[in-house]
Amino acid sequence: MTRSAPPTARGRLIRSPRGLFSLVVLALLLSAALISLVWLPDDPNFSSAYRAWLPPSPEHWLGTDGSGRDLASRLIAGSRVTVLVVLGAAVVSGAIGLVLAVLAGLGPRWVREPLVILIDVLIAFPTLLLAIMLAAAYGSGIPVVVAAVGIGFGVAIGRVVRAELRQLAREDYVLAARAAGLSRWAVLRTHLLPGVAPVFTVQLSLSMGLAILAEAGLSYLGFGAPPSVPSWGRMLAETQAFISVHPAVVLWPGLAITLTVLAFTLLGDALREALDPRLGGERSAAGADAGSGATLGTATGLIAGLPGAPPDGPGVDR
Amino acid sequence: MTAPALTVSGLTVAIGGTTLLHDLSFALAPGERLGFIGGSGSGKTLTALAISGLLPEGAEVHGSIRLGDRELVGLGERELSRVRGDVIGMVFQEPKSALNPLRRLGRQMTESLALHYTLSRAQRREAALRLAAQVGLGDPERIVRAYPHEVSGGQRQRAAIAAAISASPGLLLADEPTTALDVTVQRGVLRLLRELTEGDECSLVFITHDLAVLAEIAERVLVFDRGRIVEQGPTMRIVRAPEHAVTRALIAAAAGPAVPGARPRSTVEDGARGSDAEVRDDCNA
Amino acid sequence: MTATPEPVPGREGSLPAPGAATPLVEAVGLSKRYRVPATRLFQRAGGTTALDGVDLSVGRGESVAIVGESGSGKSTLLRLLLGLSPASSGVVRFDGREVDPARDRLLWLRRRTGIVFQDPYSSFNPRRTIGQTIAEPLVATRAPGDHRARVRAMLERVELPADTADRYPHEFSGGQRQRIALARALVHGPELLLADEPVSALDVLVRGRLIEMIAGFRRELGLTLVTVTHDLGVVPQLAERVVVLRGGALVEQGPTAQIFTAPREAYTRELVGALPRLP
Repeated sequence: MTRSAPPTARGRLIRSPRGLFSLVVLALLLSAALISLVWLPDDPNFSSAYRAWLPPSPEHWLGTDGSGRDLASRLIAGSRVTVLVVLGAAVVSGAIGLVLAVLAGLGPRWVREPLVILIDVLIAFPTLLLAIMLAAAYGSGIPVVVAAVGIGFGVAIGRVVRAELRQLAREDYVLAARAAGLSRWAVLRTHLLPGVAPVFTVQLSLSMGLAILAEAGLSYLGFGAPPSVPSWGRMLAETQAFISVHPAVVLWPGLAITLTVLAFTLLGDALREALDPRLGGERSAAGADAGSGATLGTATGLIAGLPGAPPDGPGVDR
Repeated sequence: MTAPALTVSGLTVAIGGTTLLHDLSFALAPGERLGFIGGSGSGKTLTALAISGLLPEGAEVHGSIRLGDRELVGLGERELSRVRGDVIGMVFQEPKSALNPLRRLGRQMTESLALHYTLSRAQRREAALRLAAQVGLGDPERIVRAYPHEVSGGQRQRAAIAAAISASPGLLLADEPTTALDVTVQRGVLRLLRELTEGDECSLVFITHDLAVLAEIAERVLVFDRGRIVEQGPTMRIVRAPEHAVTRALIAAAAGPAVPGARPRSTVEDGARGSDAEVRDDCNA
Repeated sequence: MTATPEPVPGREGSLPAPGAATPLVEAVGLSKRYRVPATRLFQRAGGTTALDGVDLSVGRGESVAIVGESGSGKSTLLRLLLGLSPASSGVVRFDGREVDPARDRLLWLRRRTGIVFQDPYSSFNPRRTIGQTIAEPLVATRAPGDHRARVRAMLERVELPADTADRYPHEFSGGQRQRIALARALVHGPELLLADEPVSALDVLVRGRLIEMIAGFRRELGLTLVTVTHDLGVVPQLAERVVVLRGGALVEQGPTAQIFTAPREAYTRELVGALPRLP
């Protein structure tokens, strides 16, 4: 396995079963979100008592819910919210995490020490409570979900990445780089950030997975997307009372959430392995220039590049 | 002549299809101090791992390793782990990683003792204090309560040695136990190992790449090169009249270039340490 | 980004004329104290003195070994000499110019110095190729010329194959890595080479070769060499003069032969006496 590992990080990612699985699922998610912008099997918000609880049929692929809305359309349209939340949470939590980690890990002592305490306090603060407070102040909606999830996970990422940074900063090669004349910024860019990239990437992909769950939870509680915007969490919330009567109706959004979260988790694992040059063996030499200096760039690029630009669908953000 | 404490015959070890040890045979008398010497990758550490049954999974072992009258090759992991600690004590290069940073030294020193006997807290504490005194740790009361990071490197290594000898093993395997230590501390640890292997109860296998260190402790030397024993004999003979090219290279490396002028008096005295009589004197003092 | 302009040296005018009289490296009253964080609640943070008023002078082309056991402050001294950490008090001068990391990025010093570290494993970034690693001082000091060519030439000088540049550190043995470290330390043509326990992690058979290589570079390039070590055994091959440190203070210094044959201080005698020797 390891011996025939492809030379580049990208190649290793695609060759690993977990990497391939997660990339396929995420590609499906992205295509669903993009397609939903131009075409849907049916209007996801059209409800009619005449077609409530219909079983799957050529017209309604997955059937309809209690209000007679087409489940397949709602599921496909709901992927937009998922993509938006995942992307938003990734950007916000990644940025917060990195900045916190660098300041609390490498900053001067008067910055470092209070920040560490602040991080510990923020970690103890429940994300849900934060979401509720934000919703109370700004009204519920996708931005509140993104902000709450982004801050909550960002602090957690910051803590993990900070520990890793401190560890790396003690390595002799960092000292050697300073002795060679690299500026602090250059040391950070060429040694420290690429060094924490695997940890950062794994944490980020985990938090993206958890963001989907958080969105589902918050929508379920009514702090998420407004009622007119289909989302997987809202679908669960609306149908859960009927789980014993119409299990299939709950099954679909549940399955979509599970698969997507799983894909992000596996992506994290696969990325961690793909980014480690030691696993590339002898052949890793070929991908040297492309692979190592730009590790962080590649890592975030892979993630941010996947879902593409966020589709700003009608009604997604009022 | 008593029966040898350890007899290795025709020992061949292969890992992943590569033969790393080729047909090794040697014996160790009770109470004897034997040195393994060679460069990195010569097979000296691997041989020690084979004796202690700590070879990586998938290693193919042929031949025989007899400890007293017990054959070790082919023993299951459960029996081997009983042999380790009970019959074989081990000391490694880096006491920092050999000791658990989260447990007090006293507990770690008596670990294998507690595995073999049921000890009350008081008995265990008493055993720890006795061991600490035995390995020359000053202020045993403090040491047994200390965590590894609270004591010096030399004290850590002494504590690791105490743990290795706690169950009175018949064989002590020491893999580069002084490499990480300062020279003045190294000297004390070497003396301790000599004292502990005084008499016939405990034999010592001392592994190093530095012949000068080995000359201070081993009575007999096996020279390893690329998985083979290329030369063996009494330490003095090996140092004075080396036969193999590798031995000569090791001697050249250990001797270093001559410093202009003579050696200071003290080291001339040190030089005589190889002989048994001198060692006994040293230890009984 | 990296385009921070090098600070204009403020003391250019006070530069003494380069001559035989100016030592290449000079330390006067050098001390370093570290803060020790409190380990218990309500305990005050303490301090520990790693280096206590050390004076040192190394002449151009000289080879000096700084010898001491763990905790002697020898590695701290090395860092202060290179301005990698600020001194608590005292002054370091390189070729008459003050080394002050608090005010200066010290690129001028970096161009003229190189360093080899002890640990052949932690002194390389596992994610960067050997070529990138060796080129680091060239990139950092914005050295002119073809960096790749200079890296290749350097690899040849340390007797490693040319394709080494595209490989990663984990593919090399400890001895090879120390040669790579030597290449990194010398690629930009420094005048001063500092070596922090350069052979301590290597087995005796590999040591000799690296020491010869360092000695060869020294002769050929006219390097000034400062070696820090706990092992007196490697000193005769590397240094003409020995400085003995203990507990952060300078105990004794003198020509190597004198330190080995007629040490003045009891501690030096103990160090020399404890050295294992062949019978």
